[in-house]
Amino acid sequence: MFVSKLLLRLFLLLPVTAALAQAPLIETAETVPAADQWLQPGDRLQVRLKGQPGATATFLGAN
Amino acid sequence: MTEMPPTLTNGQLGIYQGTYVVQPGDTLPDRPIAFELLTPDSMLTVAFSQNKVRFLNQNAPQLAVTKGPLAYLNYGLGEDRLGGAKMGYLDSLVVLHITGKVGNQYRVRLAENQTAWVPENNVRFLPPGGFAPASLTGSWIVQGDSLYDYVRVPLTERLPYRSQVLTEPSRLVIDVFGATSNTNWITQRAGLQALGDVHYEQVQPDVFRLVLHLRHRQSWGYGIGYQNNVLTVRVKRPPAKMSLRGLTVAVDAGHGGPNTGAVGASGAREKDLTLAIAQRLQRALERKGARVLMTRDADVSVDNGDRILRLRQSNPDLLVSIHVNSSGNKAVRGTSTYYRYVAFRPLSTALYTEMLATGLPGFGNVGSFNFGLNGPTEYPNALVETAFVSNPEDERLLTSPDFQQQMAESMVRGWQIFCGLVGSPVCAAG
Ligand SMILES: [Zn+2]
Repeated sequence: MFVSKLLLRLFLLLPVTAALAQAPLIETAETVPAADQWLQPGDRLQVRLKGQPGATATFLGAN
Repeated sequence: MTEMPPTLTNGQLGIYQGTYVVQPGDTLPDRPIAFELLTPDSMLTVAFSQNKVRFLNQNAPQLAVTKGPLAYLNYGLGEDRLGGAKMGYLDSLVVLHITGKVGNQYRVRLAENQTAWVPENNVRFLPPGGFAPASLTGSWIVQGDSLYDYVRVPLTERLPYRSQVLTEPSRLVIDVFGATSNTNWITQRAGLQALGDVHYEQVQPDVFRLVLHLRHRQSWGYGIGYQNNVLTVRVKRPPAKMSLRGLTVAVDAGHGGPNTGAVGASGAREKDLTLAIAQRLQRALERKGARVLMTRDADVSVDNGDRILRLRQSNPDLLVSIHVNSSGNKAVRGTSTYYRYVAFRPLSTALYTEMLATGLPGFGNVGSFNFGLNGPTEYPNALVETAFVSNPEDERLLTSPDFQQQMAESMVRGWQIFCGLVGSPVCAAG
């Protein structure tokens, strides 16, 4: 735990690289519940995405 | 997808949610869901869900059969330390129409608007091309042999079922899913002792309900299974002589081996306490002339599934399962008893009353208890959480040989009262 904190601190002191400046646009993208699912007509596929605010998120190629 | 207002996400920004209702004709093979996020400055990112989703084709029904001796249905997807709430056990090779899956459970279509869930390791899929399970019911034969009363309902395949004993009047009610009546007579032959009026109702077009009235107020258990495709209900009779002498009683010492159970502040272990009390109970019962079956009589690990199977095979008249309770709150103490089915509540109540007579405070008599060993319907059963090992005073009592003996004798009296409840003074007298 201590070591990783130290590494993180060192890392933050490094010059900011392009990769670091760009937080991932999508942090997580999951089905709800987060489990493998078989669905049939009439069933609901529910999803949740965590990412950059103020954007347009889509899944299954739709809205 | 919709970005959630921060008031609904504990202030978090950038949470998007979406729902898609699967439409007829939609196809999706088992694969991760693709997501896209497009920022106002036209940056596009793609991500995939970790989990896979499949849309089933309703024109190709998925059929499976139950496998193993302990296949069961759940009501829903709930999970806790007792597992999901169980609808009941099923015989093997029962045909199930699978209409969905979440995690490691398949959804089962029982009938119009009736579903259940089955753990994936309880079933084996059939080759494609089969029809959704359905059957007409044949005419019944109801008869008794030297041991049991039987109801036999011929079907053309093994359909799923659900059962319960209702009280006042005491009756066994069994719903058979996918079954429609062509029962044109019910033949009642000689030898019936436990069954009274037997009839059926068609509660909806695809649910056939057997209503089997019991002649005794107290049910001594029943089993449901298939002989070929004949649904066979085996109803147990009250013991011929209502006395502990001659009864086969099962005593289950909880935990054992590496499964220590709860541990008290002074180091008392549940597995040792349950065994000590169970062995005292065994001796007390044997002194009364009962035949005692122990699920374990040493410090060994016995899986709860194996305990249930062994009990089913040895077919006892009664079971008590002995445990020791534990709470994060050291002040909590007292004795409690647990039963699953209202039919067996009188046993649990009698045990509770007698456990209270030891002077332990009451923690409650608890019904609908979803614990494996309370699941069998074949014999009256109850579980006793003797006292709280997490409470110093209870722990002192639990470790006292004198008090262990007192608790064992209380359980014997509980059984005697239970037997007395069912109408004979002989058992109550010992
Ligand atoms: Zn326990």
